[in-house]
Parts: sequence; C-alpha cells; structure tokens
Amino acid sequence: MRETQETRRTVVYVDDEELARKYFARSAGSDYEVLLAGDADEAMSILRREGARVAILVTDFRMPGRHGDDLLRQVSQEYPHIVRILVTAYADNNTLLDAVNSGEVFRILEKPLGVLRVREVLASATTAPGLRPR
Amino acid sequence: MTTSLVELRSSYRDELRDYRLLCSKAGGLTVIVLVLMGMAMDYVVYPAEQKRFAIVRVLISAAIGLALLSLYTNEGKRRVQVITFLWLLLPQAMISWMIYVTQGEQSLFYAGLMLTIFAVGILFPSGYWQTLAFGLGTVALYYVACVAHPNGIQDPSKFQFQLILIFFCALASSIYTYFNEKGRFQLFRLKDELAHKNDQLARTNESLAQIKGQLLQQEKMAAIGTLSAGLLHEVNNPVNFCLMAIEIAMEEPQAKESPSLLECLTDVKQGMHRIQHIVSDLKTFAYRKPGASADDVPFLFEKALDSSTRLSAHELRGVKLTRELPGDTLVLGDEAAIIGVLINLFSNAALAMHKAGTVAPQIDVTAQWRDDRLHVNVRDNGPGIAAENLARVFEPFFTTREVGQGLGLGLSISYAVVERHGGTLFAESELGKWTAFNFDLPRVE
Repeated sequence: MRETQETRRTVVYVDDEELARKYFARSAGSDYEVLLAGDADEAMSILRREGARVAILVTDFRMPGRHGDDLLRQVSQEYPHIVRILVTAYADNNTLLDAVNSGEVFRILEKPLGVLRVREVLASATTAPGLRPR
Repeated sequence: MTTSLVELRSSYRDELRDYRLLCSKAGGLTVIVLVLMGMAMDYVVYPAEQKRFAIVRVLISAAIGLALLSLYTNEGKRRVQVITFLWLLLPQAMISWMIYVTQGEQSLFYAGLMLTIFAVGILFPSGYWQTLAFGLGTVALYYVACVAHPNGIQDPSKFQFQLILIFFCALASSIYTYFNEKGRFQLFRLKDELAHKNDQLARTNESLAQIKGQLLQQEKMAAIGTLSAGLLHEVNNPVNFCLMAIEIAMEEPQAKESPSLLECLTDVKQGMHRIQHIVSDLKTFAYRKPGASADDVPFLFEKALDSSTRLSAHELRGVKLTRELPGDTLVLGDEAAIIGVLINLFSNAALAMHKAGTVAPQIDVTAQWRDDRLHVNVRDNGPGIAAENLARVFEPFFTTREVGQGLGLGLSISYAVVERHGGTLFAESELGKWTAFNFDLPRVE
C-alpha cells in the first residue's frame, strides 16, 4: 500500500468553477491523487498541509481574488519542487507571456481541455527532467 | 488660410473692372438723360440758342451712346477706364462750348461743370488721380472757353472766382474718391475674408461629421470587444467542463456498448465544439490592444497576398484575379491577421459572384502608397451590396446567408484587425455592378 502511495503523484487543481474541478479530477483518473481548491488562498492552505508530497499544481488563470499567475509566482518561491501548469479560458497573450516569464510555468493549457490532453501533460510533468520533485 | 494681399488685390481688380463696367453703363445713361433734359435750361437761359444747342445735345448723347455700346465688345471691356474717362469729358466739352458761344465767364452754365465733377467723384470708381485729372481737364476747358470768348473776359474777378471754385471741386472730389476707394477695398477684403471663413467652416463641419462617424464605429467596436472578452471567458468555462464530461462519459463501458448512447454523446460533443468555435472567432475582438507591439512585425504585403490567394484557391476557382502593386510593399503589422482579412474578402466576393451568377467574375487588387500608408483596394464585379446593407456589413452576426451558412463575423473581425493596424476598413458598392473594400496599413519606419 505504501508503495502505491509513492507512485500515485499528487496534483493540486485550482479553479473557481466547481464542475471544472470535478471533471478535471475525473480526467486525471486513478493514476493521480487530485486535491481541489476553489481559489488561490485555499490552494496555499492545502500546500501548507500537504506541500511536501504535492508534485504538480494546475491552476486556472482568471479567478475571483488572486489570479493564477500570482499564485504560481508564490508557489515557485515557497515550493520550488512543484511543477506549475497554467490553464486559461481567456486568450490574452501579453498577460500569459508575463505569467510564463515571472512564474516559470511548465506548460500553458487552453480551455477547453481534452481528457487526453490533461493526462498527457500530467504524464510529461511527472517525468520532466529537472522538474521532478527532489 | 488667408490669401496674400497681392492675390487679393488682383482679384479685387477683376471685381472692380466689372463694377466699373456697370457704373459706366448706368452713369452713361444718366448723363444722356441729363444732357437731353438740359434743353429745359437752354429754354430758360438761352432761348435764342435753343435749336443749335438741341442739335449739339443730341449729337453728344449719341456719342456717349456709342461709347456705351463699345463697352459690350471685348476690347471695350478691357479699356473700360479709358472709354469712361473720354465720354465723361464730352458733357464738359459741350458745356464749355456753350459757355464759349454765349456769355463767357458771365454764363451760369459753369455750375454744370461742377455738378459733373462731383458726379464723377461719387458715382465712378475710377481712382483719385483720374478724378483729379478729370477735374483739372474741366478747369482747362473752362479757362479756354472764357479766355477765347469773342468779347474776352469782362469781369476778371468773377472769372477767377469761378475758375478757383471749379478747381476746389476737382480737389474735394479727388480726396473723396481716395477715401471712397480705400473703403471699397476694405469692404471687398471683408467680403473675401467672410467667403474664406465660410469655406473653412464648411470643411470643418464635414470633417467633424466624418470624425463623428468614425468615433461611433470605434465605440461600437470597442463595446463589442469588451463584450466578446467577457463572453469568451463565460462561455468557454462551461464548454470546457461539458466537453470533459462528455469525453469521460464516452469512456464509460455502458457508452461503449450502446451505439445510440455513443451517437448522442458524439452529437453533443460536436455541438459543444461548434459553440467553442463561435467563441474562438470572437477572440479577434477580445485581442483589442491598441499598440500591441508583439504583432508589429515588418512583412511584404505582396507575400501576404500570395498566401491568401493560395489559401482561397478553392473558392476562387473560375474567378480572374488581377493585381496592381507598387514595387515596395513592406508594411508593419500582423501578417497572419492580414492574410485572414484578404481570405475573408476574397471568399465573400467569390461567394457573392457565384450566387449571382456573375459572367466573367473578376477580383482586382490594387495597392498604392499615400501618406506613409499602403492603401489596398479589393474590388469585384459582382452583384454589389444594397445601400441599406452597406453600412451594416461590419456588424457582427450580420449576414445575408442562410442560417448555418456562416456566422456573419468575417467582416467585423476583419474590421477589428485593420483597426488594430491603425487603419479603417470601408466598403463601397454600386448595386448590380461592383463592390470594393478598402483598408490601409502602416509603412515600416
């Protein structure tokens, strides 16, 4: 049992849309343990509890309160081992470019997300050399 | 925008000549009437000379009449000043002759000479030096008439008094003419200034109306931009999880076993994709960033035209495409977006011509530099656009196609693209003959 825990990566998904959270979790499937947060602050409190074992953080860009890029910046400073992925439904190249530059984002995903695409990106995030959790 | 004084003076001279012509004609008729009516004075003062004077008066009137007639010829029009000056001397010569043959300095007719001098100063716009010359000429005539009088000068003091009086008349009349002249020029200048100001006002009005139209359009497009950005976000989120839910459902064993359930799910997925495409069409509006530097890349418009022609090859089958471009077409902007605009214009034109069954369909692309911008004109010989639709073609979702045959977003998106390049996209058309779309792109600095 202990061993399966090790191989099952933990992913945090942040989105203000409840149904988006639900179906992201289902898309990720049984290979990942998905922790869900409704906004940036909730995500940070999850990280404070579980930060050490979280491998990947996926966040929506536009949310009430702090935006996704802000959250990613904080995570990159406090939990540098976590692979950071940004999801957006809002096409705004300049803002996204800023986010990538300051938050060292691993990947940017555009909504709508395909189930296969989610699995593919999560898989590449866990095997990405140099971005693996130490 | 004021005309130079030299220009003003030359156009004033033109106007003055017309005025002189009019004065000479009207004044001439008046003088003829007065000369003839002078017979009444002959009857009162010199009844014995009545017959001879009458003949002279008729002759003088006839001479003035001839002078006036000459003003209707081109030569006469050009020499209006000289002719007027000469015929004005006729009544003076006549009066002087009458003085000569009657009482010399004793004659009361010298008053007639003074009357004419004043009339010239007041009525005729003939320059102060001319009035002075006319006055001095009259003085000379009177002098000769009295001195050459058969009985000589009998009352020298009366003669000298009257001579001086006539001279004073000439002087006063000249001074009056001088100021009259100045006033008239001033008036003309004001009139000219007023005409200029009116012109200016009309132009300002026109450009204001244009600016107002542009502002309205810009405001409309900006509002659509804001709306699209919001819509994009709001619609994309539910579309996102719906698509995910559908995909997950399709992975369920029950779905895989039931072809009808799978069919339903596939249809729903297709519908969701369509919604998503509508929304991503709106992205162009959402990208409304004035001065977004990322898009400003130099490219050859000619190359963009090549690409768009290639990409529209299917729609352009059977359509003759001509182009007329300047040698250098290096512009600044978003090449992909401009290719999109061209494809949109081509396919609209091709579709319209196909639907209308245009014989020998043709699209002409011309471009030329004007004020550091490349002005592009895409013109077809299709059915044209009705005037009431012409203003609406850039409205999002405006389409004359059947439902489901297009969203009616193409031109509104193209409008936004051109606007992002600091230009305007506008349409012209003659119903049944042609349609032309125009836009402009900035030159590389």
